[in-house]
Amino acid sequence: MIRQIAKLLRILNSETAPINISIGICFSMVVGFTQMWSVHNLIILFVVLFFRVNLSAFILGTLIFKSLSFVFNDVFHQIGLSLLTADFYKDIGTYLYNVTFWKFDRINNTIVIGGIVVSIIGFVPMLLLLNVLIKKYRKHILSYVRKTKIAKAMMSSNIYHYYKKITGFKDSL
Amino acid sequence: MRKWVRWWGIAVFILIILLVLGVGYLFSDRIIANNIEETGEFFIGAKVDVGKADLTLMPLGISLNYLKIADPNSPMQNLIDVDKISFHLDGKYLFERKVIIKDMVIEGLKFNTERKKSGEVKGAEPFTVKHAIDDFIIPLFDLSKLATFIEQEKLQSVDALMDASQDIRRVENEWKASIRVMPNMEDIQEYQNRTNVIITDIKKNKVSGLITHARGIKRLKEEIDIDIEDIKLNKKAMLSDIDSLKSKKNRGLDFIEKDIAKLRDKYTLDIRGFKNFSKYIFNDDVLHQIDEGLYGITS
Repeated sequence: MIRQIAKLLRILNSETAPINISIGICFSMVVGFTQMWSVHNLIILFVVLFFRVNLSAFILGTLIFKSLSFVFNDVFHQIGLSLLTADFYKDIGTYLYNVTFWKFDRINNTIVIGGIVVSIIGFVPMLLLLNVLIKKYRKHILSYVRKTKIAKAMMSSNIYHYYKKITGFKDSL
Repeated sequence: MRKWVRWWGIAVFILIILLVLGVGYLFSDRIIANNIEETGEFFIGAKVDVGKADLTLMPLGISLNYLKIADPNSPMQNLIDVDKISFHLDGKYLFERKVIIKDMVIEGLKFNTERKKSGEVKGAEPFTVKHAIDDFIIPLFDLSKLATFIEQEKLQSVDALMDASQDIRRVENEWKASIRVMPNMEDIQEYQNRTNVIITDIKKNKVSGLITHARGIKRLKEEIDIDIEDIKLNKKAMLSDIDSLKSKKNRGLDFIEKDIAKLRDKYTLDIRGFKNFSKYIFNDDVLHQIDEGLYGITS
């Protein structure tokens, strides 16, 4: 966990594109808020591994959102229940339930469908928000920290140079 | 392209899937046994022990050895004690979350056997069938509706078979009447006697006998020809009747298959089928609940 946080901080401070980090966190929200071993999560896992989505952000995000999902289970249940019992959803729900993919995905479960709905609705706003936050962090906080005397002293020390060398070597590997 | 994708990701993905499946299969026997024990204990309110579970993939099936279900009312006894239950599943239905058991073999089924250890589960509330019936199902059943279930269906096979049955009776009566007037063994015997008399006389009197019996021979031949013609006509009519009854029988069998398919579609336990079937069994308040339940809402 600490290793993942450290990695995430390193990536936040690096030149990695903000979209790679934020999309990893957004995908982790879907995985975390819904049941782990479901078909849509397998597809997400494939997308995350195949495309250059930041894995550290994804893994850390999954851990965080999975923990949060236990707190929000009641909320997901309420959202799912109101959706599953809504008149407008009856036909769609019946159709989806008769499609093997969705039936296998257990979309008739209130918590599962609640989690899916929340994560789908939250996906794009979260993506945009995280993008802005990462950019702002890099522009204001990171540049401020780098300008502080402690940071300047640390960056000019031998230990930092060795660290840079080692991590650079690791990255090149 | 390389900027956006990492090809090794596919390998990692396949590796993860294989790893999960492999580990799952490795522990599947214990997972199955545990699930059966936990679920069984929840429903019965007493210990359920599975000695050994065995999952086979080709063909897909499960076998359970030494399944013992304790009696919640008498924990030192087993309600059911089975040496082996093995069954095969229809794999394609599992993707639809349906468990279709194709065949099942139960060996060494015993009741009320003694237990070495108590089968009591502390604090367990038995969710028995009796409990369910007392509290829920029986008061809501409306068995009088069940009789109307078949009556309300317009089954073509019933009409076709009734039609065929009527035809069989009609043809049977017609043939009984025809057979009565058709030449029988007595007639043939009579022809035989008459022929013998003529032959004997001709043998005896030669040409004069032949002249004497000329008209008799002619009449005998005409009568036999008429009878042969009659038999031929009846044979033709009988073959035609047999053909007609055969085609009606086949039509009836076709209708039976169609009706079975129709009833299966309408009343099997998918959403529409259960809805159709339940209206013949349950009262209106339960029907309303079923209507909600049919959308499979679980939490």
